[in-house]
Amino acid sequence: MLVRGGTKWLRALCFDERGQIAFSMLLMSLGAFILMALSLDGGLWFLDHRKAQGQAEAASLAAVIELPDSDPSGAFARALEWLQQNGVDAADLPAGPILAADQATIDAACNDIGSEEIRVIIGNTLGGAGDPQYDTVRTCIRRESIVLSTLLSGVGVANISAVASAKGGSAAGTTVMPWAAIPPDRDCDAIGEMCDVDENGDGDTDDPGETGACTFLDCPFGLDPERLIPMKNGNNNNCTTESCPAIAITACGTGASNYRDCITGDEDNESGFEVGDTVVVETAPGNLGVNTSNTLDDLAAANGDSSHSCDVASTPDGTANGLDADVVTGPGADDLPANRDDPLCDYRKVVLAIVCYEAATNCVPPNGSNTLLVVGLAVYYIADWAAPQDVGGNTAQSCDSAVDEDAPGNYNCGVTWGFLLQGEDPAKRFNLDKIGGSPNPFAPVVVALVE
Amino acid sequence: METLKKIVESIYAALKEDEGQAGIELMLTIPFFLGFVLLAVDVSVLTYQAVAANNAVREGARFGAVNCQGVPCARDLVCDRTVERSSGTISDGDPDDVVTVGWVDRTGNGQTYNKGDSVTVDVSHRYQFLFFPFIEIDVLAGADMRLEQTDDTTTLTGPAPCW
Repeated sequence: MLVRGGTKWLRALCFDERGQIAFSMLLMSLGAFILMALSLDGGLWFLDHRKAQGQAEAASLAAVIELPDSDPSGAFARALEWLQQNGVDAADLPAGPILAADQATIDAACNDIGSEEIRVIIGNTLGGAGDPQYDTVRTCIRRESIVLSTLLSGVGVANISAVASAKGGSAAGTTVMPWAAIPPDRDCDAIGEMCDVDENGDGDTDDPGETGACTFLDCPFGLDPERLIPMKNGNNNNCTTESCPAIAITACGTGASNYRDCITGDEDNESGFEVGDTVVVETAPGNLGVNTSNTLDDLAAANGDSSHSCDVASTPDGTANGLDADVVTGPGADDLPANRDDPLCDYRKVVLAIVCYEAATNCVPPNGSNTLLVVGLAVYYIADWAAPQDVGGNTAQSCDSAVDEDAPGNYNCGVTWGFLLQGEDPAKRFNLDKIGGSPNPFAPVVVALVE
Repeated sequence: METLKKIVESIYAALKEDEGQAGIELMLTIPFFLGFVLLAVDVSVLTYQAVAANNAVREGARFGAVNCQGVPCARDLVCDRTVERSSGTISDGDPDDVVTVGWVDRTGNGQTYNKGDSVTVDVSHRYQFLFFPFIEIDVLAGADMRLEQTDDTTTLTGPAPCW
């Protein structure tokens, strides 16, 4: 009886036309639901990938600020910190970094990453052979993502991945170079050329231990970071062709109070100045020009430093090749590190070009305009400046004509003086966008996300 | 009475007939089908806005991490950058969109503007479904970036809403 009833119902279901639309709509709704689930999954996977990408970028950028450094532990610790601060569970963090000696190893380090794994690779890609410092951080994230359609289809789990690499290294280009320094080593007339080192600052490089075969790392253009670099060139000064380490460049101006720092004649001015460019340097004959002095006064005032609180007590000594006894051993020795760490004094850090005559065999400062080869970049801290007498009516900073300007311990009128800073961040007003392979420790350090 | 009887008989006759049954079935089932389609549209817009919000907080935090590209950094600048990079998802001043920007002392020196400290950007955006307006979901996104340089502005404070 029951079988007969069931058969009758089945026959009715097969041959009755009623309900066919409802049945087909049911199938279509199921299809629509599957499509909706797939679109939802796609959106969630993309969203999860976006989140993972943000975590990887934050970790790489936070870590690379610790570089260049030969010890990768600081960079690794920062990567873990910022991964956690961006939502990664502590249990998912890697136990240690993967260290890589070259770019190929870094690239391959994430190829076999597991389905639920985070890797932090710290590598050395800049600086070439002999450079012991790590400069690159790569963060790889791979994890299982939320799935809806896969639950229905039985596909299994879906994995999302994100990779971000950041590099920190010496700048090889800049948009502004207000001044330039001449390497004391007169043979340093080509990029990367080894320099003689005047270790004790006595003006010659022939003392015991001062060889001409030092590496570039030990001899960054022959300039000493503890040595005062006065910016002056021209006639009637105590900076002779043999000992003067720097030249001064008049700041460009378009009006009585509108100044900008400039070097003219760059071959590729669109992208700023790069190591290897030739530039035309317009030097100020004799003393620094009024434009330079007024530019610095305006710069100080604009940064709330009209009282010169960012000055570094220093005593120039032209006879000792710029060696500054105050900073090295004297009462003003603490001023430079204190002021360089004060954000209010950041405006004193300017990018400086290391230049040589392109066509000459000897690197002699020009007396007037000339074409120079940029062989490197450095960060320079402006310790102070003295305007020529009566310039701009600023008698407070004018020189006393009664002082013997050529005597050791005294500055000439119209001189800007300061120090080279090692491994310094670029000053904010300079748009540094290039990382080079130069291990020059004086070059500004720049950080960039490269992947 | 007679008229009412005729009406009832005609309805009964209509129900017994097969004519128009497909139309009735279509009418009954199409709301479900349309519901799925419209839900799919809403979910797609929701995920798009979630991705846009995540991208916006990342852009805002990065902007703060590089000292607002050299100008004296301020909360308003980071807020504006976050709104600008949200592809229209976050509206400036909308009470349903909460953007929180702050600087956090990570170096332990009591200052929030030094190299190594954090700038954080968080967004809470309320998405009201287009076709099911009784459904509202809060889209949450956050980013924490490390300051690459000490900021010129020494008055950057902890997390606070933009408006």
